[in-house]
Amino acid sequence: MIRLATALALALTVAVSYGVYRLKHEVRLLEDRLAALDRAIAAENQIIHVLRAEWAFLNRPAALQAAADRHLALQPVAARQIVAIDDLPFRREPGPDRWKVIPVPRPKPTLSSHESQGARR
Amino acid sequence: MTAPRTAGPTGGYAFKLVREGAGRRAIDVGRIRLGVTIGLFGIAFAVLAGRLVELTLFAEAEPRPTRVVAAKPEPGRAAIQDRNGLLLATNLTTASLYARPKAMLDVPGAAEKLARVLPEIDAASLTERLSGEKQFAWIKRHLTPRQQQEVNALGLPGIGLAPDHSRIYPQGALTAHVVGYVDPDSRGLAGIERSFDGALRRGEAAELSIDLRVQHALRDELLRSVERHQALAAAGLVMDIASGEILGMVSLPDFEPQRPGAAEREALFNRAALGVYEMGSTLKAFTTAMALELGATSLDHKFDARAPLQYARFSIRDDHPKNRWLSVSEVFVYSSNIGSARMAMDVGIARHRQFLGSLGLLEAVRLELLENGQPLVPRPWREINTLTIAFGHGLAITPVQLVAGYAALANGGIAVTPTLLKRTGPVEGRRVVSAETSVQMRRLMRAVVEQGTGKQAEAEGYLVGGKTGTAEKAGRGGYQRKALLSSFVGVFPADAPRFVILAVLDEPKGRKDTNGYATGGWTAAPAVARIVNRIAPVLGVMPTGRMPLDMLPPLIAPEAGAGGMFEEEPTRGPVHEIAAHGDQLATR
Repeated sequence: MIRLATALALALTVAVSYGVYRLKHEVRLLEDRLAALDRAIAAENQIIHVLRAEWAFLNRPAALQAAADRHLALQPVAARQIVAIDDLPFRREPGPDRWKVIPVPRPKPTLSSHESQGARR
Repeated sequence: MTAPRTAGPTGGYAFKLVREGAGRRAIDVGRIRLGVTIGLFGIAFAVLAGRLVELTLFAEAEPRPTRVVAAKPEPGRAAIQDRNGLLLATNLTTASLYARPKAMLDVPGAAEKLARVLPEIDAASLTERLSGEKQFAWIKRHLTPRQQQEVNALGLPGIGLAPDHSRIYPQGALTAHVVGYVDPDSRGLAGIERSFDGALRRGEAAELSIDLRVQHALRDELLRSVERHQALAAAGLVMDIASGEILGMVSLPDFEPQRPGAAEREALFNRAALGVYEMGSTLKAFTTAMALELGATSLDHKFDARAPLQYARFSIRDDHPKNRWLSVSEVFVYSSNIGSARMAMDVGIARHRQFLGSLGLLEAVRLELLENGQPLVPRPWREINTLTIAFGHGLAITPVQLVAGYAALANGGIAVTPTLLKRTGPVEGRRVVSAETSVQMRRLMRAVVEQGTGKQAEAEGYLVGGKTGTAEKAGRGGYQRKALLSSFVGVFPADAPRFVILAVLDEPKGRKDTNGYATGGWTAAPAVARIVNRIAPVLGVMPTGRMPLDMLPPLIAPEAGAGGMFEEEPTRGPVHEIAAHGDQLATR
């Protein structure tokens, strides 16, 4: 009886020791992984930080204005281009003579008419 | 074992089980004790096992410090942002090159190799620096990644790279005076960097009231005006009238905050917050509001401007003397010095002083900068001071104070506290003028732009009101006739003001297309018009057509034969000066 118990206890001890060892080993591996991930996150954050600074630098209003002047045919919004929704006229009732309100083709507006205002910029 | 032991004949131990009498009792006691012990150990192990199971299966893993430092979102000093979260200042991790001369094998050779990689280093002087008895010396701070790699590739003993923080300003000169700058060790030396040094070090980011878009429009237009009129300097402000938040603050010339050492002292000076100036006619708005509040009965109340005002040895004159009685509206729109002086005289020294004090013009503002100009207030304050301050001379204030004063006049009469930090909650302030006076001031300021000296501040589609100012700068031996400080303070939209805009130009020059004028109406007013046109869509101000009927500005009848009447300040010297020879008082 006692021998059996002793043997059982021994076997249990070995099994538990092995189990604990396995567990500890696994934890170590996980910890290494965690550390690696932490480092990677830190590095990634650092990169994000640098990119944010670069984004701010590239989006300097002066730089955007210069780029827009060079590449875009856009101008600052003038007050006369802003209209409230209430100021728009109602659309005509659709009816049989609706085709009459289709605008007649006319020359495409060109930039030249804007250039006088463009000189303000 | 609790059984009695006896020594056997062989000298060893032998057990003899006694099964009766006293022996038996002893065995029973022993068994009980054994049982109790086993039981106790059993319970202990059961508790341990139970706890183990609980910990492994059910309990949440307790957080514990990991071996690596947790990833921090930002290294070191916190960022400074504008009101929309755009970066104005931030930190980058760099590396700095150092030397431990004791550990170096070949100092001249190493210096030569380093000079080849880093062109700005001179091998001879570096050799000299490293030859002393020093333990440690910086060779170069903040290397670029490429330089780091090249230095590493040299593999020199005694030379190393240490991680370092470098403060960078993505917006460059745009917000230089507001944000300020730091020294190589990231200690704040000016601007917000200095006033919030402690908080920034603790990692608390600063969120400013500045709107980068407004700031850019303001600076861009001021730069253009400076160039157009060859002005020495300029200052500009945009303020939210209700909260006192400063949306834009510009001082020209400015500097690159990355390299403050390369800037001239003039450029480092914040004219908008630290500079104090005799503003000239723009101060008449305060005189007029005071008159409406304390003296005059209505806009039609008349003041005697029939002749120059004589006071002791001084004589106060007008540019374009009307030589008649002028109403409050006329005094303001004609910018009459005599009328303004009479208004202040009627109110009296004590109340004049108290009124200007309530607008915050007599003490330094508590803006979140250490660079806050102290206004120059006359001591003692005599009657002549009241007379000249009424039209803008004899009291030097900062542009921030001027703008804050106009904000109070235009917002319904509540004093505002200027701030550079974004405000969130509601703002409280004391009342300085009545709501009616505020409405009258809006009408008068609109009249200046519609009919008076501020016509060029008219921004197509937006209602701008305001007041021009042209002050001769005080210089050696009195006021200088050709050195002007030209300004325009605008409020917009004039019918329900939301913003105050100030443009000040220091010594602008006249041009052919301004008929030679260098006055506020010809130099600063057009700048304000352009600024309004650019920032109104950004700030969500809808274009409006005209003033509401009940707020129409008073009509100032132009007089027959006075064609140039509204060309307030011609360049032919001061037409009216306080004619005291040698006394440094003159104005236009």
